[in-house]
Amino acid sequence: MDFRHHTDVDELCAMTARWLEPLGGIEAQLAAQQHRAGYDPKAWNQLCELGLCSVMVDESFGGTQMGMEAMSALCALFGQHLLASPFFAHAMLACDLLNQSDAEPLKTQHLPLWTMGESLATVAGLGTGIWDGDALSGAWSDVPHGAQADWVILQAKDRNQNLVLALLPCDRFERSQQDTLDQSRKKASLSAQGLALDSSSIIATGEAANRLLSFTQDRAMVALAHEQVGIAQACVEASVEYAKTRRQFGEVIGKFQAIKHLIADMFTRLEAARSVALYAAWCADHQTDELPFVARSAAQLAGDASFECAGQNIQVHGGIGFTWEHPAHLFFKRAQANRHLLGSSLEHLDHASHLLGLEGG
Amino acid sequence: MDLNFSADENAFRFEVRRFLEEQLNGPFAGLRGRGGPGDEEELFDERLEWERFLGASGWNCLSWSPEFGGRALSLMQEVIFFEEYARAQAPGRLGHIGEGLLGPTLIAMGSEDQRQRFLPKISSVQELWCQGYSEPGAGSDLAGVRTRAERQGDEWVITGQKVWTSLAHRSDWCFVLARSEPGSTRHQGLSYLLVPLDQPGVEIRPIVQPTGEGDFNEVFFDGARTDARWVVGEPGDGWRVAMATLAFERGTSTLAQQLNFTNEWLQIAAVARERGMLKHQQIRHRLTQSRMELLAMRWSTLRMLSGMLEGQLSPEAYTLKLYWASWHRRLGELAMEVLGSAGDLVGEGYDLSSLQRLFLFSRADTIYAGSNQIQRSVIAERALGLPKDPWRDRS
Repeated sequence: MDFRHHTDVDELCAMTARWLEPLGGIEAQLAAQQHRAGYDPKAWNQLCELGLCSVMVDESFGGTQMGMEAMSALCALFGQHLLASPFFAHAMLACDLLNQSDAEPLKTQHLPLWTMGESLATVAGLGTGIWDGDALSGAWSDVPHGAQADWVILQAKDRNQNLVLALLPCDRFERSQQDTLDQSRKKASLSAQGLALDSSSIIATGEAANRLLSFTQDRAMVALAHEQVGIAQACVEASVEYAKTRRQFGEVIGKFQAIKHLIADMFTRLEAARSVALYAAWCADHQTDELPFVARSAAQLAGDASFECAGQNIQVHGGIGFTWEHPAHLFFKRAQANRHLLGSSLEHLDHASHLLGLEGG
Repeated sequence: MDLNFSADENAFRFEVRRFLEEQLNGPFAGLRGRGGPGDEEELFDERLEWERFLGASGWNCLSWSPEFGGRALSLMQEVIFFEEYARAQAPGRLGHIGEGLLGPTLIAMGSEDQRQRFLPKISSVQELWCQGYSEPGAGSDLAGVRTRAERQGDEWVITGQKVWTSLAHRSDWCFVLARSEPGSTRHQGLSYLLVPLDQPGVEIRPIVQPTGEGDFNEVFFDGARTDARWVVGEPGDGWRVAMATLAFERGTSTLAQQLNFTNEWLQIAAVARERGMLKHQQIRHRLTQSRMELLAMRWSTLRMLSGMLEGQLSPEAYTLKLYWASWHRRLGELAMEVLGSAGDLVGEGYDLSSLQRLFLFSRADTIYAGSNQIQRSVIAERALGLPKDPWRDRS
């Protein structure tokens, strides 16, 4: 049993960390948010040039196929640095979903470009979409980076109420950007009326679509849990650092148990979440039967840990933590937004209790 | 990252499983699920016989060298043994203080004489041990120890009082932290002594705890004697030895304990189902959250152990005690919630159900072996490098 990353994952992370270093810092993050997209397109291009969008994609489509261990490590780093970018929606949600599907022509056509970041993809959850076999009509909201994306994988129902996963160019929809509480991940609403859609754009339907969606959503939850762990870690580190330097009553505040015990609790939650998230990444890579419950556990515990640590980080910082110029609120907002991105805490617990066989009377 | 057990480890697991199944379906069938924390008196003699059988068959003190009755097995193999032990619901252990605390201390810091004299009797379960640390005036602040030890000829003479001594009334020996240098204070001038309990100068009185039972004791030393050879480490260096023993408390049996937790969780889920409590979303969610945290505990423990294999205690290791103790206390509260008013009734003579005992006994979990408050300071200081509590010792 060995929890250390493979060397190639370590190398990937070291390279990524070197790239992130100059991008970090509150000024850079606030500046990035000034872009209409909510992120700095130049930084996004660099990220793509580093090849980071390739980790979930098979080698036959130009990917590195490094899988969830690498994806998780990258997400943790991006959470720690609070990077604003469409990486999660594109490289995790869209790339993994298409890559795991059997839609060979679509994969051949798109994955090599997505891997290079030459076009930007995102996903849209279940809106009101109906596909009658020829045309698609409906509305989808909360589509991450939907106003910037070139392609969207969306969910719809066919006439028999079966799930349909389709891949379409975004510019064929009416789009409007939605402003968000967390300004680092903008969303958009999409709508279409009688949009021509034939089977060549269909990724999967029916039972196959359900299976594909549920498997890739479990994996995405695991990746997001690692981003939450990264956020929690950054908040613990920031609190420790501040508690060692900020002086009140003639002492550094880290001397006071009211502060140090609070940070000890943050750290305890963080490490429990990290342990589950690491195991979840392993289950996701090895497609074990445990994945559905473990993924929900990682999502739930990491979501709570991240929110708790981000909230307490503001508390430890006191007044300075409640200013726009201090990064504490950015972590807090991202932690909260992430808790809704792939299901809320209530949904995770409902789903997981179902998996445990705890059915209501 | 490789989170599988190896093929050898799996083979070992099956060997252990087969052995335990044979014994617990055969000659020791009546002992399944008996004894354990909060219920140490149950079938004591039969459990002692079982442990002696384990020792005689080579299933005790697995990581120790064969010279002392062990098998020189790896840390992971030891972990697997304890996991299988719990999975089989084998009886609660009696020799664990000798096996898990004193033994490793003697192996690390004892004299050859002490190892030869004591280790084989621990591994064969001929002698049971208890831990003489806490005193009425020295609980969380262990350096406040006032029990005195005086050298007289070839003997140490011990006078004072220890408290919260698990299993003392059943033990043959006690390792005692005592002040051997008159006038010394705090962690200076302490010695770590091995004291036989069957002698006129020792009196043991049970402490009745909120369950109505007595797992713990007070131990009074009034001129109790032990051989001058039975001081571990140098006289006056007892604090360092005592701290080494505490480090072994984060041991390999943690995963086994978690399997017992799983059994408790399953029992509570079954009660919730029987009583129709699963119709409440809040109960379903609390059960689910609890199960998720149990999963976290398992993988945190495996992370810690695999870090120890690489020869380091990683920072997260310090969080485990706080996490499991707090978790277990919440589990006890959840048990009472699903029991409803049925949980308020007890049998004749204050006879408790296992869930009632869990509810009450888990209040001790967040106190013994470092209270939650102490754990938080330890995490803050050792894992995060925050300033020390000014009143605590540098150790």
